[in-house]
Amino acid sequence: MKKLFKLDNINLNYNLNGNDISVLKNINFEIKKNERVALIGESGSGKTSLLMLMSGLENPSKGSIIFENQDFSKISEEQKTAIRKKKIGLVFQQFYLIPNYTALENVMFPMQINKIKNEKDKAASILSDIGLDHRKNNLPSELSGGEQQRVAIARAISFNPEIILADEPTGNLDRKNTEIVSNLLLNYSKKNKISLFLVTHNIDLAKKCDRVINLFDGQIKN
Amino acid sequence: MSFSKYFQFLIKELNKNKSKIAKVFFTIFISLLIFSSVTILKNSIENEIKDNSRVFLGGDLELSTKSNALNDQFLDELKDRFFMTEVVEFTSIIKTANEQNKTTRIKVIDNFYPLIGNVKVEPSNSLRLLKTKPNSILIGKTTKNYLDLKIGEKIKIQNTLFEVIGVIESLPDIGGVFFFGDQALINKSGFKNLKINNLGSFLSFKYKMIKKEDNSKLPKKIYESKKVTIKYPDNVNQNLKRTIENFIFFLSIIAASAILISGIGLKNSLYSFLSNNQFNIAIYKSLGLGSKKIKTLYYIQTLIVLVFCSLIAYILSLLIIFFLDYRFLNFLNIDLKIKFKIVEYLIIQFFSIIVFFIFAKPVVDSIDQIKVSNLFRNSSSNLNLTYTRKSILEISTLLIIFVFFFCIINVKPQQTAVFFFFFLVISFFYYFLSKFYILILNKIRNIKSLLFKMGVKNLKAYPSLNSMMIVTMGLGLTTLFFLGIFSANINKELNTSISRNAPHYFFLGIQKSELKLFTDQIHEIDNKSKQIVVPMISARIEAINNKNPRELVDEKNKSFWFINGERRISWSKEPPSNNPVIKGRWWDKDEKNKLKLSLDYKVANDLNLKIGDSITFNIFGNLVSGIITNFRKVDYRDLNINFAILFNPKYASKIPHEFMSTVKFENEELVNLSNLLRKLPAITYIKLSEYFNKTRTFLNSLFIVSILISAMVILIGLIVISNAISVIGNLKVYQNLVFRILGFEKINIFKLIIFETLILFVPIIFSSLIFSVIFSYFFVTNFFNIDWYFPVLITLIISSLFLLVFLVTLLISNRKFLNFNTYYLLRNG
Repeated sequence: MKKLFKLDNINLNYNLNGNDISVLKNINFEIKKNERVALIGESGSGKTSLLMLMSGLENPSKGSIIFENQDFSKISEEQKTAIRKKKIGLVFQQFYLIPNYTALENVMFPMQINKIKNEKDKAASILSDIGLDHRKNNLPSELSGGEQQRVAIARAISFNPEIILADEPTGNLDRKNTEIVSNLLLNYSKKNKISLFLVTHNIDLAKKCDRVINLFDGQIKN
Repeated sequence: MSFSKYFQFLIKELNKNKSKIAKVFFTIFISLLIFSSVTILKNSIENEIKDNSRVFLGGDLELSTKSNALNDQFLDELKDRFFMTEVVEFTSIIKTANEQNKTTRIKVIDNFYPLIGNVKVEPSNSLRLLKTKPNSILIGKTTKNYLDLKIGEKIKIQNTLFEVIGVIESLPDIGGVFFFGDQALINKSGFKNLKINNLGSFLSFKYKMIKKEDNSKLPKKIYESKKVTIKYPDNVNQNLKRTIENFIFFLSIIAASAILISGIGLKNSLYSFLSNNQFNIAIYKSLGLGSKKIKTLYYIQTLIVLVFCSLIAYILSLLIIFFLDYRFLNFLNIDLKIKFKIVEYLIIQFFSIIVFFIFAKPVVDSIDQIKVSNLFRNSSSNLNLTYTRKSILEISTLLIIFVFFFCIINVKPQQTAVFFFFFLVISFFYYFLSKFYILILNKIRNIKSLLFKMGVKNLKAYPSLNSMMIVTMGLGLTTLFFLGIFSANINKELNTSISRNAPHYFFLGIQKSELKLFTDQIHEIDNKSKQIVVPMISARIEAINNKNPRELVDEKNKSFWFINGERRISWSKEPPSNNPVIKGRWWDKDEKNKLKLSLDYKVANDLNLKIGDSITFNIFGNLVSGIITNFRKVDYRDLNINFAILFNPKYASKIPHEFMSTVKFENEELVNLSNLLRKLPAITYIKLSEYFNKTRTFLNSLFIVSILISAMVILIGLIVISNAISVIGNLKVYQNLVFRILGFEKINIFKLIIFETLILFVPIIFSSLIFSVIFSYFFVTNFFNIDWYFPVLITLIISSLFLLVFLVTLLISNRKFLNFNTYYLLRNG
């Protein structure tokens, strides 16, 4: 399988009130194309920070992140934005839908900025596939938590990215919605041969992935 | 919650929010500072004039006559009832030993001068000395400096020598020569040696009087006399008052603009503050604190800050005016008494509270819209400013109270009301423009461009905010353009007030026998000079169509001056080249025995005079009637010879007369009049550049103070506008962060922001230009009576400045999501 992500000796340090805090220490792993990887770990272990680095939203203090042969530390902010726009789908625990856009418009948005044609029909079709056809014209504030997360996933997959980076996507959901959302992510990933990197507390969900990485106190624990 | 607990909670909240609330009140504090300063300045000047008007007049009343003194018998009659001092005033030329000279208004005083007030002289005993020492003179400071005179030196008035025995620091009775008078004092014996009898000396006899008893009255016959003018303290300072009233009115309008614009600024900032506090408010509500209590909490918090702001602004204003009085306002010639006045402070507090409620109420009322359910949904909605019938009624009532009280305490209530009317019309226009915008945007469908689509979406998503933005930008820009156009017009008037063709000198009091000598002398000084000589008499209008003119013309009439007092009249064979005839015919047939009249068209219009009407004049005691034959267009501003009345020459030339002349030299700076004045000691001259420099210095000083305050208001306007822009920026931070995370490029977000604001900005700049043009035209032509023009450069400068502020503010307010650590920001709120 072709290599998609390579994290080489990643370290992330913060300076908080004069004290150096080491968030991530010597992280090394790879993600291959069409591979589903789960990252588990306790709260505060550095999971979200790692995801931020992989999305190109933050720079590591040390080490390199290679995405499709492009080193994030050597490319510009705008180049990273372009990668995110075309190749990385992001799903957050807090959903982060655009509040003034309807569900349909939220899903259409990545396709619009990627200049994908027939974006309206495609977005409507995705929403229909995930059972939200009847909610497509509702604003995020009018949707339940589960529905908001499904819209967020629909938005992340709408433009056929190379990888979906999902940060505790079921963290705020009940059991039923957890089931729906996790199946949605895994099935879509398998069906379309898209890689998935999943940060989760949910061991059952993690077990459904091809591989599980355990993060403890900023370090990978085997 | 008990009151004490509630109070503790309130103080804690206030402490927590103090920096945010301080930001909200920054603009209102600056505007209150301007408002307080203007109010203090206005009240101090008014009080000073009111308190000292008796001193300015020099007594309880003043009788004045031209040319002749009142007869002794009548004076004795007056002296039974009044304490009196006789002051003779005339204009003449002071000449030094080295032939330097200056036109001066000279006061001849008796032993009783001044009846009230103090004459400040240096050395201090020189006034007493003047009253006893023959041919002594006290000169003004300006004259002393201009002629470089020292005490003990001799000067000449006509051909009589006077010894300078002191310098005048100030005179109490400044009513007549407030701005331009270089004054000198001499005694009666000195006056007897002079021959002051020509028209150019503007001779006037004044009798300043103080009642011996409260019920002392003037003899009845004085009211019937047309020769005597009676002045009371109330009407002594009309010129001064009018100038200062215009100044104060201008400042009041600036202050009103400032406080209203800052009210809008307050609304924007408060809206932003509450929008950002939505989450906290929702939590308070979930914990059982009612909407009403939360509103009261915010009202009390902000009111505490407002009261504090007003007090600080008032105290700071006292210091500012105190400082200004010494540095900038001494050109007004008034010592202002600056002190803390509780009533004055309360007035400022009153207006600030009313403005606060007018603008803050709809925003604070939007707290009702914040729902606890937002907490469960993990979502927030935009606050909308809704106006119910009740709230519209409340705000309108407050607005009427504000306008009413602001107008009645202002010097020009009607004009102030006109200003508020304009302000309201413009506010409503922009409010409805914003509604129209939303209507149009809702109609736009099938947009291809993503940026355009997103821009329209954003504008539709924040209707209340966009309304506020449009109203703020509209009012702010209209005010900026108005001040710019208005200032440019006033400046142009100042710069062009001396016409290019204006003469350099006016010579007055030339007798017929001296005319040749005068012409030769001017030719000797400069043989290329342009000289115009016209005859001149002085006459008083006794009747119009056989009726007393005072019964026909009200004192408020713009041309009342025409029938009031003596008029200088000339005659001419041909119509003057600068005064074209616009109605009627010039004298076709000049008859020796018929008096025909040519009148200023504007005067005739104001007095409703028609061709064929008759005017009766008193010329040297004889009554003569003439028929109006034509009207001329007279522009007094060209500063050449302009007479409101011209006679037909064949009739007029038989009347005893003297001459006046204007002279334009080739090079004014090389002119030396000493020979001429030695040979013709009785004539007087007015040097136009000197007169205009004084006028200009005064107007410039007024202008600098006005511009300083206008600049402050422009600054407030820009702060409010930039605040409105940053409010939008702040509210969209979350949305724009999500855009960034999803891969929307920084440059595109920036384009989107500019695009959105340009959609709003372009129509606003056009409408505000139209409004400011209309408003400034109305203001400049009606209230200042000057010609209006459109200053293209100033307009471009203001537009560019605005655009610059606009872009800088956008960049600053949006720096958060244009920077790198976007997700980190999002995660940490």
